[in-house]
Amino acid sequence: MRHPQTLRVAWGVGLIGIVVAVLALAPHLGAAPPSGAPAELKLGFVDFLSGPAATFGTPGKNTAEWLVEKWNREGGIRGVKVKLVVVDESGGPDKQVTEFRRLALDEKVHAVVGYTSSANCLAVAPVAEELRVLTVIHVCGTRRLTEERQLKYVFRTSNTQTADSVMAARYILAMKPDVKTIAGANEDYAWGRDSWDDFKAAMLRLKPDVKVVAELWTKIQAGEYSAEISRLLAAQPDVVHSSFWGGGLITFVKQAAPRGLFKTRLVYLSTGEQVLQDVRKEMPDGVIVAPRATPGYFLHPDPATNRLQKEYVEGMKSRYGRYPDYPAYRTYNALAGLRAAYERAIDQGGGKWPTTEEVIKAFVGLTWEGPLGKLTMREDHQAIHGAIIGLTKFNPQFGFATMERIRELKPEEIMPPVGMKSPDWIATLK
Amino acid sequence: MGGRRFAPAVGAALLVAAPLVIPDWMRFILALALAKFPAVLGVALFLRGGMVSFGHAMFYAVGAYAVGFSARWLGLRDVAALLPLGVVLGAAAAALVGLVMARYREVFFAMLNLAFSMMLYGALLKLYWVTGGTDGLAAGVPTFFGWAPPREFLRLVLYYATLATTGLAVWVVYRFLASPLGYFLRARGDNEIRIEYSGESVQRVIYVTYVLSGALGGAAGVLAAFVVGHIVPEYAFWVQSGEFVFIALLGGFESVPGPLVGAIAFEFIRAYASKYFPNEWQMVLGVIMLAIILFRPGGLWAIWEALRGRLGPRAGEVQHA
Amino acid sequence: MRLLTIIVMDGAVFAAVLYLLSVGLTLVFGVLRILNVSHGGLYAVGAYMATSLALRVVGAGANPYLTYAMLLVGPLVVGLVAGPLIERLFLRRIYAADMHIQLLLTFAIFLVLEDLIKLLWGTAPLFASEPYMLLGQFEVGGITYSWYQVCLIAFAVLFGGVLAWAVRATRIGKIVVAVITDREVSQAVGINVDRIFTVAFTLGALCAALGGALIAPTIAVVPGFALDATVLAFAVIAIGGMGSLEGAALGSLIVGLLRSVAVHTVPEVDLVAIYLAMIMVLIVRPEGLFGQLEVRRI
Repeated sequence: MRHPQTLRVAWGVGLIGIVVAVLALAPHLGAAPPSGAPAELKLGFVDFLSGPAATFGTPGKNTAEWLVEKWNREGGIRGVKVKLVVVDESGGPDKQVTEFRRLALDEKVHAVVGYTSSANCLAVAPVAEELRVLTVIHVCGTRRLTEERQLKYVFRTSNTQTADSVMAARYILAMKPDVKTIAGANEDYAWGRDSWDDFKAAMLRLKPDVKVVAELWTKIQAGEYSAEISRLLAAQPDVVHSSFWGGGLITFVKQAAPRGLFKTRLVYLSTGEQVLQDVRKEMPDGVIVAPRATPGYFLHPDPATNRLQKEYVEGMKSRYGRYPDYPAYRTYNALAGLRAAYERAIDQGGGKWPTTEEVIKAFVGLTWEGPLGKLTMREDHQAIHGAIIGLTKFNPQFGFATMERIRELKPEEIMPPVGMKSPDWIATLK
Repeated sequence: MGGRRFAPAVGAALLVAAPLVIPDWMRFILALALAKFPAVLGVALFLRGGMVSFGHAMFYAVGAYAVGFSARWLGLRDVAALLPLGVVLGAAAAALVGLVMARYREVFFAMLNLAFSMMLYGALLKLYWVTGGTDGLAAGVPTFFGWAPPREFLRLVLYYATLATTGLAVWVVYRFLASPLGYFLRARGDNEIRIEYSGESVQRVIYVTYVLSGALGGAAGVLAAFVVGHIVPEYAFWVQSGEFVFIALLGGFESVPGPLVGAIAFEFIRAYASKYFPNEWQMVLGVIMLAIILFRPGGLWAIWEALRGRLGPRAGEVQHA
Repeated sequence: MRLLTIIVMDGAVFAAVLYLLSVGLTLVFGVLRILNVSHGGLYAVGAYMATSLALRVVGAGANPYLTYAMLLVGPLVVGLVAGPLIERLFLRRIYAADMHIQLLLTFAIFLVLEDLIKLLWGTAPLFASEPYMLLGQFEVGGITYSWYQVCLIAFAVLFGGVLAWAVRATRIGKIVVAVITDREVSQAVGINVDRIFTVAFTLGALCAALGGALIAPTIAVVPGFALDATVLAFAVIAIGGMGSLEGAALGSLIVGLLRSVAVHTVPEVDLVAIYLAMIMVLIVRPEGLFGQLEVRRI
């Protein structure tokens, strides 16, 4: 005999069941993810969250967070949400190799994006190949990553540090064709040495009668440059090249500007754009700066004319209080490239979720869009793109110096062709 | 018979069986811990003698760069050839530096060691056209007595090679500690004059220990170079030496297995601290260090011994069955 | 002649920086016989505190000359808070312990301080430029120097002088020297050695923080800048003699001049030169140039 109470309960349960079923099915009633898709796309993101290089890693991490949240808000990559697993890049290669293996084998990420330090990206690349994990290097500059080995699972979406030096040589000679003497103030490790060597070689190739009057080598992030500044002032070079970065660069500007180094000499700071917002009005006018060899910065292309740029610049500024700088842009380009590769692979596979190998195949030769323009991935897994370089000028609207007299350089002018080693290419520069 | 002999056998059996059951990335951590263990043993030996060395990263780097140079210039990546080479080079470096070091104690011992190690670091950093500078050298894929294991088993074979080397190192250290020199080393911490009265030269004791620890450091460097795959000047930095000292303290340096427990614990703690506290993992390590120092300076091994003591002789009998 | 002037000038500037960094370390070692690895951390905290206070002053639109006051207030706060805290909570427990325990404890404190700095002040570089810029520049031998650098040298000399006077002429100074010379006898005589330890460590922490605060206007304060400073400080006091205030001064001068010579002649060797000097001094005279030989007790 059916109890009226039981009937009501049964109806109630049934109703709830229907509602639940509808709610569960609803997301799937929208854009259906490709068949075989995982529940979420797990991405490892590795950058410096501590130590002096955190000045690069923090904008990178912020960009990754912002971009992934934006993607997820808009439905994810073809319906698949993205989950970021963030790892601190500090601690040296043995820690980074451990962390990479943990990301690959314990967290089981689908891909890893990141690596600012050249030592780390060189250490991690063989592990990526061994474990068959798609890895997209976003910043690290050593040319040895792509020039001295065959890569299958590893890609780099930004120019090498050779481009920073060659671009500078070209710009300086265009600005000041009668340069007679040059000097270098760099940190004594691979980054500083390679930057200076390439710059010196390019200058000597393009104008063989140039003389080097001083080569200064400091400790990494030395923080105390008065002796070096004295030496530069005494040597009186026409042009000074420096690949100082982060806190060390800010300190150098602080100590050198009052002593007149920038007034009397033409100084090139290859990572200069990154510190503009920190140095504010201490940055003298007329210093050659670049966001390394990146095709733009937060004012170029003009956000008013470029939708992606506008959205990104405003988004980052309002959320993190800082305009995006080159580590931020390189992170964006890396993530955007990865996404474009996935989407191309999905399309090429007729709509089903691709394997890592299929994504790799789709990535090679791919051209994708970032806020600064298009980038193309070459078959040697090195992407190349254009670059801007310019002079500082204090901008009252922002309270810090921005770039003027910007010159854009084409990728072929600043990066060697596939298969050619940078030093050999520089020896043939025109 | 009983608990005393049983535990090491169980421990060894666990280490042999572990890689076959635990997940891959944990196996890597275990391999890295085992690789660093001989260097930590070297540091622990000195700690037993009441001396701290903040410079043993020197020998670790020597061993690692032996692998790097050999891979780069000779194309030689054979573990069987490079291990003895690393041991010999580490011992040679220690023999050289030890001539100076053996005359110092206390803080001066620690500082002078640190200075030598930092000089090596500076040299490795600056001579970048030889050493690769901060970009470092790649170790490549190792071979074993000429045999190149198939890809899927490479990590496993490397693990067992590391384990075997570690076992050998443990045996050597046990023999050393059982020898008169070993006893004198322990005695040095108490009273040097008495050693001299017994007819032994304290300088000789320290020198021999130094050379032994250099050999151990070199072996560790070779193993770590292959396990990690990349060699950088930071292998000689004082923070690396500090890590060895910390591991010795964490595990408990008064025993031989103590540092091994410490090495394994350290690698796991570091991995999990990064996983759960990606922004504060250094502080987590610092806090753990503080806790050990303040509350259990005997390290993890002392905790284990206290537990075993608590269980009493009955436990031994039960295990016997 | 001109090069010599420049070398001496640069050497003096660097020596002043080093002196402010290492005098606290040598004081702590002299009294407590502990090599305080966290000294570099306190130096960094001093720099951060002073810089953030100076930035606040400037941001509030106050008189920029007030930033100089912040350079003194900041480290005072740090020293008076962190000093007794660390000494009472941690160091007190390990005075009787072996040296390696003490070294590791201070190393652990250093690690904690590093991340604490990150939590409190973030990872972006901080700098306040007013103190450095306000004083202007001058020329020597055709090279422009900043007056702030000269002030640093003057302050270091003054500070050293005051410290030396305090140690010799004041009662508390003589008590501290007594404790440095012989702890047991001092205790036997009735000196409250525990209190002296706290005083000495607090003073050492104050010196470290002050050093950091005074250097901050010339640099950009970033996470991790204390790591290098720590090792340099060790080198300086090893050369000068651990526990000796005169030694800290002489050690700073030597290392400063050495580095200056290296930069102006063979820049690549500056790192190696400092450690080489340290090794040579330690080999020839292990207790340092002004250090006291410890008599071995049977």
